[in-house]
Amino acid sequence: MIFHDLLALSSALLLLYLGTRLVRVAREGGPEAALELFTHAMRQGLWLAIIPALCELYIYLGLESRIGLESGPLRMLLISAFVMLPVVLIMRTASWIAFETILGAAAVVGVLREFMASDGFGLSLSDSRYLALVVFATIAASTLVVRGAVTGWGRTGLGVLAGLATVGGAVSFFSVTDFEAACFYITAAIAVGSGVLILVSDKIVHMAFWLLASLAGFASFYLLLGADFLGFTQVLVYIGGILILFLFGVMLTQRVDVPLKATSSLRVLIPGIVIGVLITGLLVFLAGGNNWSEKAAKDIAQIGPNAVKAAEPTAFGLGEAFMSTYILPFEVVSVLLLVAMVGATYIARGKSEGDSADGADGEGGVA
Amino acid sequence: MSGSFGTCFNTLGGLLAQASTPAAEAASSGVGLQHYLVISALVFGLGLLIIITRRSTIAVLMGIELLLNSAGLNFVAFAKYSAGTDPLDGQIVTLFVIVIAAAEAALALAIALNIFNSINSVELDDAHSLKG
Repeated sequence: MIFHDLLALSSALLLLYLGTRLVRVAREGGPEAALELFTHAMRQGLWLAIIPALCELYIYLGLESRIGLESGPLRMLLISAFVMLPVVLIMRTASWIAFETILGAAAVVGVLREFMASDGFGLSLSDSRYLALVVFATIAASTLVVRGAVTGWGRTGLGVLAGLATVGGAVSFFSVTDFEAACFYITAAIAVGSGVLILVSDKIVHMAFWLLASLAGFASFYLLLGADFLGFTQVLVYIGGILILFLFGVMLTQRVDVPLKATSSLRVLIPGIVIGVLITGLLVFLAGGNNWSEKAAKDIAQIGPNAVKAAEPTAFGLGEAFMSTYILPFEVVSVLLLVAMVGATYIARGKSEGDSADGADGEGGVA
Repeated sequence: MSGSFGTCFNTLGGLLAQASTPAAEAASSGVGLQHYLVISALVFGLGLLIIITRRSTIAVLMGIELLLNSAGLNFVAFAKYSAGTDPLDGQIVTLFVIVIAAAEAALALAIALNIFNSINSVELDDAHSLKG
């Protein structure tokens, strides 16, 4: 498989580059300088690039069959390390970007080669949902472009490469053969990867832009599920409305003189992270551990295999349901929106001149 | 302790093996309800972690948006893949979620703006007084 050849080649190149660089530093500055460079690089996250490289070489040379170890867990480790790469790219100095370039470029080329070699994709762009998917992928990509123009191209481009490498790893691991599944995995990489980047970004504006990419991923999910009206509503309301509101909130509440502290104190942070990770693990086990696939297969047999392909427009049915079955919730929500609008305007109104004089009450300026 | 870890690991391994077998992929297309639920659970956890670890009100609100989105995805996925259910029902619930999320974001940002006007900060740790 050409994918593994390229990945193994890039891993060998990576290790070779590291070795020669260490040797050169050792010849110039002695072994202490080499050791210092090595520990510095490890602390900057190089181990996350070395582990997959070693794993890939290990699998490529066929060592796992000699000691009777299946390659599944190792490949999983490899893929998870690729997933971690964007995180590393955020908090690492630029001097190690060359490693990721070598790894990522080869992975991308391998993925492209494999896509061209396999003819399993029933790619029919007549289906408007796939066109819309392309549109939303463009939205996510343009987010990256904006971020790259603002903060420099190095990390952003490498983040894209690492995401593509993740997709490539998932494609080769799960042996994806149809276009819909490929769309799902790409969308999942966008949604979850942007979520991780929201978590690790140190600037709120960056968080807002990654939220945009994640919300676009969710819109793609809705389109994949055949909910076209919902997908477009997601774009209009979330990306067009709520996100802009967030950006205004960020701009109106930042102070230049006080640097933002991203995280809480450790006393709060450590138990919080433990609890959060535990709850996440529990949810994932509940969602993945139940045998949904069997039930779903049964259900697909009932509603017919064409349920995905022949999805019809949902706007007509939704409008009819809103005006008949769901008329009461519809009216209640409209009243709620009115109340929220009036309330938000009242709460966020600017203080008039009399207010600052009579202090905290805030009622003096009205009327 | 190690026993429970081992159980967890075995469950994970079983999951992966199950996901990678061709039989699980064979049904119509490779993606089923389980895949959407796992993605939704992951994003829910990310939103939870954002809420826990961030100090800024606006960052916490972003985490809440992620939670609402993952819940909405669950509604749509369940309605699509369950027998005898109209897929539109789940979509309508998610539409209501989107509308309420919009109202919530507007109100919460207004409150954040008001807090900033009062105490000159949007950090949650600083907002510990009821009287502005």
